[in-house]
Amino acid sequence: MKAIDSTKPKKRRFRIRLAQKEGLVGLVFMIPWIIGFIFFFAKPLVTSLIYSFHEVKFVKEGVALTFVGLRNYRNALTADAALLKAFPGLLAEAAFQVPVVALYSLLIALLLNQKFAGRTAFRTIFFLPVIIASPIIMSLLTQTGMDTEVAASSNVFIFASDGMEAVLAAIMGQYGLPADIIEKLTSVTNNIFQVSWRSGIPIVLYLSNLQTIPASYNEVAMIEGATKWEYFWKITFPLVSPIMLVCLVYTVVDSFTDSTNTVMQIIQNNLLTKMHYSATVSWLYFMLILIILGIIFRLFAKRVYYMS
Amino acid sequence: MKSNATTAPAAAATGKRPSFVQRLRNVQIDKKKLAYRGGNALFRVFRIVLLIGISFLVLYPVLQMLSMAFKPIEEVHDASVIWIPKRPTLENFVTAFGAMNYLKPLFYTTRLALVSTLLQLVSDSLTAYGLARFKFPGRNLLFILVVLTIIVPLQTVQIPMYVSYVYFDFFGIGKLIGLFTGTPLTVSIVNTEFVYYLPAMFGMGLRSGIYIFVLRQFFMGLPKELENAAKIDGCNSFQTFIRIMVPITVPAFVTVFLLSMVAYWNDSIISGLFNGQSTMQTLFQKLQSCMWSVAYDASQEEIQEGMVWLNAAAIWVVLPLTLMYVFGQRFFIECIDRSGIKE
Repeated sequence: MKAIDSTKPKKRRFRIRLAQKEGLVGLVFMIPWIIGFIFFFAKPLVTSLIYSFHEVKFVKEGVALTFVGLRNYRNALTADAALLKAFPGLLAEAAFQVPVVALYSLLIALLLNQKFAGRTAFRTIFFLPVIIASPIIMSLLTQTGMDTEVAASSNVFIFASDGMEAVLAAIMGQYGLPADIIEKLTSVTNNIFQVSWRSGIPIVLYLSNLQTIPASYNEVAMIEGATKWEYFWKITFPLVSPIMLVCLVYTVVDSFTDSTNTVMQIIQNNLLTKMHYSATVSWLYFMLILIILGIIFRLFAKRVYYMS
Repeated sequence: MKSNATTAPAAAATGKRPSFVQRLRNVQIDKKKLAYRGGNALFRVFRIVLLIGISFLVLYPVLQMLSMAFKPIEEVHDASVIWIPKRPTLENFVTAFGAMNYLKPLFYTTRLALVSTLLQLVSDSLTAYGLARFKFPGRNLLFILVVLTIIVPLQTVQIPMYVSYVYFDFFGIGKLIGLFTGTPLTVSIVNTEFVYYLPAMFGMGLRSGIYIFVLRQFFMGLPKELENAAKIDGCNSFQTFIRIMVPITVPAFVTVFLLSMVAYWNDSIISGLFNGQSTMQTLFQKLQSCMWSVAYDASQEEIQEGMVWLNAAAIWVVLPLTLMYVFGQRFFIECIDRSGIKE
């Protein structure tokens, strides 16, 4: 009878299981981030949300707010033609680029992960876009920083600026191809170029992940008689799938927050004169990105393979 | 095949040496192996062609940059010079070196990038480890918030950020002091290096979210046995992290280090917005002011002539990072098979 008594719950209220206690250690690891999140992210973000419902004027003491309700959002969604025109274009571009970048960078990383002469040189070459693709150097390369008229048009392609596109069009025109097909083809070459430049970081991420796959897996698979094709689909692919998710997210964010695209330009241009409008557009914009990422997570997160 | 098998013993039985033709018949060609080798060779050729092709695409603007940088000014308007200058010169590099006052901003940028990156690496890896290896209520929510920090462009929050940097109150502590003394204690950290270091220290540095995400994925991929073994050996969670998890995921750390260095090196947002009036200038600010000095009030021809040394200046700016990558990538390769788990 005594034994039964001792199993009765005691009066202590905050009894947590050992596993839960250990889990809470994770929160301790996250303390610096949580502090940073609140003060360097959530606070400014909420402020900008508040701005989007107000009219903001800069005065001596800081900012003066007048409440306008949903007017900013109405303006953005009905009156701003440039903004509304930009959205479908951006979506189409992302729909093309995101899957292509994800697969292309995996392919390149797989090639660069093999042993062959000149591997180091190639790895360096494929990393170069990461270093060079900063806005300032790009503006130098395309000379947009020098020429205000060119800078005003948002999409400046390196090949186009160099007349490469014109040459291509001329060559293909000789064979009597219709103009719109030529246009499609040249836009594809531009896209290939953009894809190869966007893929710098995903390639690095894939490569570092491929390096962590132990060589013993390969040995076992070969002994068991797996072909390389099977090895890729049954070993490599599941093991890189976690990074594939990162790459998808990265590419989506990268292609949407590129500072040269039209929406980002609108956000940037209104920053000092119409802060509230800039805040509104950026809130609308990142809601859109959030939805897209939500879809990607829905589709992929469950299929990602984790070893533990 | 069948005839081969029957003739060989027959020849051996009669004691005659098999004729040349017979011996040739006896050589068994492994068609599978041949096909495999042929396929391999084909694949190698395909691989190198593909890589060279794409490399050209990637290198095209870089080659353009190099070609300009080595071009003497007289050849700028010479239409017969397309890629390789007739008399390549290093003069542009000397001009650019002097115009940027290269060494001073180089050391300044290196310090900013290195300190921020190291701080960021510490805070991000702790966060990622907490997210990846522990189960606590609200974990998924916190992870979603991490992703949120990736997708919100800095432009959205920059004005409120600026205000909070001008009246920086040490995370509310200054305000708390204000309750007692009457005036809240605030310090302006705008135009100091802290606009880089403080967010980095608290996991909000440049592109922090993506690094947390990357590190989390790496940590999640590790087997559970590692922690159990460490626990049995008497490690607490923090020791497990430092002694077991960090050494295993060195490739991930090297990757994040490289990417973060690049992000800080190439940064124009923080330096332009929060550090614009600083007495020191980063390499990119120098490059940008060089560009403006060339473009200001200049004719098209003057701009073209300025382009030769501006390209040289750009090469000076990206050179240290390129070297860092060339030497750093060795770590990708050396850190194979460290997980050391036997099942």
